[in-house]
Amino acid sequence: MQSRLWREYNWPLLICVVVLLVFSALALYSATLNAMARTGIPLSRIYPWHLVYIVAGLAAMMVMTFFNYQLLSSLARPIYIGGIVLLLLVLTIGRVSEGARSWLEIGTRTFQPTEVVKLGVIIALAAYWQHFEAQSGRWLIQLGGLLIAAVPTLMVLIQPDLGSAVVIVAIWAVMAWGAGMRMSQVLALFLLIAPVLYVGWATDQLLDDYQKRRLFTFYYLLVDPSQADFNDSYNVVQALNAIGQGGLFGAGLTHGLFSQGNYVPVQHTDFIFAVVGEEMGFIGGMMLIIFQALLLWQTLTIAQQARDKFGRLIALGIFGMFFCHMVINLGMNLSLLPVTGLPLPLISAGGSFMITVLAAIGILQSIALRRQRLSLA
Amino acid sequence: MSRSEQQRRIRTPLLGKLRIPNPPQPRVSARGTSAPKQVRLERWRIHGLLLFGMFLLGMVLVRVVELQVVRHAELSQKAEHLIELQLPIAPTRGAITDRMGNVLAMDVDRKSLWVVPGEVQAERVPALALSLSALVQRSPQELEAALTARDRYWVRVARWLEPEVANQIAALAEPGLRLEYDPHRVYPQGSFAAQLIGTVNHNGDGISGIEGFFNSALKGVPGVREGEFDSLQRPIAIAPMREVPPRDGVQLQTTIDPRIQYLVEHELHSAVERHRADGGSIIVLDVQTGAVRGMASWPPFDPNNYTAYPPEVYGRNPAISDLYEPGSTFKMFTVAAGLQSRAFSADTLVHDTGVIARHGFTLKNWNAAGNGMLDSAGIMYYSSNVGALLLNELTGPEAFYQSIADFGFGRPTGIELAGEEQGIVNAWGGPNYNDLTFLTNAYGQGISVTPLQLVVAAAAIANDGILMRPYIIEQRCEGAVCVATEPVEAGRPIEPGVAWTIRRMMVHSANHYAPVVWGPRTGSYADQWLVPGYQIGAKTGTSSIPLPGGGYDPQYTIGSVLGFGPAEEAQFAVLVKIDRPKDDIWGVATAIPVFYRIMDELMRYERIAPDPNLFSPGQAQSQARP
Repeated sequence: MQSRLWREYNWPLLICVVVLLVFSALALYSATLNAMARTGIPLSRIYPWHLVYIVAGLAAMMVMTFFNYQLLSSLARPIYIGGIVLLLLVLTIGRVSEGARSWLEIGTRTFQPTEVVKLGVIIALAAYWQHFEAQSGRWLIQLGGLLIAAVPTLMVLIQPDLGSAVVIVAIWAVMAWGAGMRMSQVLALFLLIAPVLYVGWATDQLLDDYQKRRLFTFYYLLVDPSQADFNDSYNVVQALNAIGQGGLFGAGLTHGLFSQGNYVPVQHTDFIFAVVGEEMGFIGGMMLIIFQALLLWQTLTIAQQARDKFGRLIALGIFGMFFCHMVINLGMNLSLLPVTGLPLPLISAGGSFMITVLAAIGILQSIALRRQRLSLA
Repeated sequence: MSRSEQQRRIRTPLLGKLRIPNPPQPRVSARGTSAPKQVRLERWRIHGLLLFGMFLLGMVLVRVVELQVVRHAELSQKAEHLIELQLPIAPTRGAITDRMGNVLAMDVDRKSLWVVPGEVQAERVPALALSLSALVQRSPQELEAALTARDRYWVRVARWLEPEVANQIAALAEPGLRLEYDPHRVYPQGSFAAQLIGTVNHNGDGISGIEGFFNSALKGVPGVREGEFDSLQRPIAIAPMREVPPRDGVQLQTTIDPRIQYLVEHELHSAVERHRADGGSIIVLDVQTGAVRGMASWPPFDPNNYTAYPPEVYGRNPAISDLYEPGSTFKMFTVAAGLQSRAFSADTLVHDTGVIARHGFTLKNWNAAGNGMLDSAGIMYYSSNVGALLLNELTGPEAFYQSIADFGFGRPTGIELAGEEQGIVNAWGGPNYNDLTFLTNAYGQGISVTPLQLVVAAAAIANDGILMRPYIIEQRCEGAVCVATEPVEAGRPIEPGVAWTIRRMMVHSANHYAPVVWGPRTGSYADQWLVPGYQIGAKTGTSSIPLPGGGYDPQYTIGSVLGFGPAEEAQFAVLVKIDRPKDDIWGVATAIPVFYRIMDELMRYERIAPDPNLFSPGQAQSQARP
């Protein structure tokens, strides 16, 4: 019975996780070796904590693997309400850093509730659509799902954390799509969103000034780099320099001049790929992307093999979260997308997100383990 | 069994009883949607997502290939320009000392505070501005403006911070603050010898005096540190550095004698104050070598804070840049020209009528009174203008101007100081020569000289006719290697015999001024010594001051005394020049006591034994100083 169970375990997913975590440990060691935060504090002191978070995340992954994900269905409501309370808390007593009120202080450490809320939204949406499984294509049901996602999205926007808001919207989109959104509804959505976006842009309600500047910078870098503002485009240009410097094989770990020379800002979180690109080169960067792609593939495989709609939707939501983070992060590192501060799953520093991602992978394994109708009890 | 009873309940350790939802049941709704159809649809949807995901990640891969494989060479070359820096290493500007080694100008290590507004955290600005304002002595408002000036890459907030202040700023450890090495020029003795040393501007370039003349030598050659630097311009530890050390500027030891310099500055200051003069210059020259031992001018300035003074004060040295008509002091060169050219002898007599008509002009003595038949000594003694011009008529313009040129007038002396003037001599054969000027030149009118030219020429008379080039640098040192300046002979305008004759005349002339210091006496003109115990040669001069619109200043003059001492084996040539004393129409009554005190002090300083025979009645040795 037990041996049968472990046959169901998704070993490729575990291999992806292990490989990416090794990447993370190496890249972050190098990224924090000589660099300094904007506050002038050396980054090297966050490295031990990063390892602690990896271990804590692996523990969370184990727990979630053995936890029957089906039980989450009945916990969906308290999880969702708890998430909203956390977001309210962060908006009132949160700590401001880098211009956003996104952090709660716990002793000497800080905690970013937004990351956990992403997982909470996935569970809530999955439970919602499972409840209305047979009627998931109905307009009213789709509207309800939209509302569930909209509340935390707006609260995250207030912080402001545009990146996470985009992630929650992406999670909702992937799950709504997976739950059976009709083509007419997709069309209606686009027709609805376009004017909202336009009015928001025109009246300056949608984006903060710095977000607009990032957008312009992105545009200029694509069209005419000489027009881009030096300060605004500094991060992106340095990341490009570092990646271009890497070449085929890279400068070697801890030997990247840009990474070690403190040229790439926030290279331990948002711009970690620049470090990988410079020091591990094309080979290293490609390996990283391939394993990230493998991870996504396995997520979808688990979604496909899931025993019930709840599991399927959770897997899809997790796919949406991972995918959104990866594409936005890599796109920004490579100047394919405007700068939106999102960490790279399983690679970037940042405890809340690392633990959330590993817990999500635990849930995926839990779904995979229980794809046959076997009882653990 | 009802449906709710079919649901399985599980007892969990932490969360209590939880229920597991039913497996999906085919449910017949009003629209008749059935479950199996739903599952098929989802398969298709998941494949769609997979395709979409792979497409975007594929784009990312293409971009990585583009950046790292295709454009690698271009990007890495561009990137190298960013981190491969050549940082200059500032050399230390050389110190300037007096001949005893006391420092007159030196560099001190200081740091300047720069702000990089782009790195300053906006919420820290008010607090940061407050704490900095106490450290750099600027108002918080100004600092706040600098800290938030995001349109500039960096802003200098304060220069030349004391090490203690710089350390306190470094201890703040705020992002966006940079402390840069910025040596500061300091003149520890303030205005002492300021016109001579000059000063440096805010870029560290000498703009006057020795600082200006020797600017490039004092500056040295910057070194360079080449290699890979991080964004804060600190060397990246993993990359090796290539370094060419800087060559520090030369150290200059001047010929200035601190005690003589102090003496002349002090005497000049008190004379200017007592007689409410506009300014003045005093130069003390070493007769045998041409070394400048003291050179002072009024008004002074503080080179540490030169911007508080007008440019004509800190930017020029009157002792070498002021042109003036030397007046009667020039008669010694008139006599020298005639004696040297054998146009007349020391015994030749001319008839001083007090007033004389020449070329349609009336030329006269200072008091228009005649002195009868005078020899050269008498002309010097009575300072007879008519006598001097009659002598010049004997000499003739060609010989006169030749001799004047031999004495160095009309061209720079070649002293190593910035801004030296050459004077105006309308010489024989030149375009501006005219007969009237030739005659007035005999008593120092219609000719412009610098104070330094005069004292250098007088030193040639004292030095048996050998003209020495004046110099200010005793030695220049690069590291431990020092090169001393060798005295340079610049010509021999007169023979030793002629020089001796003129010296005798000047001693008599000097004694004629003794009453100004010692009070009136009766008797022959040799009965009183200007400086008791020594034979001193001197000649006074009253210079009329040409006005810009033509003519001369009717009210004020420049009073000067030019001389040397002791008369034989002379040590020092001295020029005292006081500009526009307000209570002395001829100026000489102001200049003579100053000249006396300086000579008296110099003789003591050089430990030249006073001759007991050179004391006049009332000049007791015990009360040598009136």
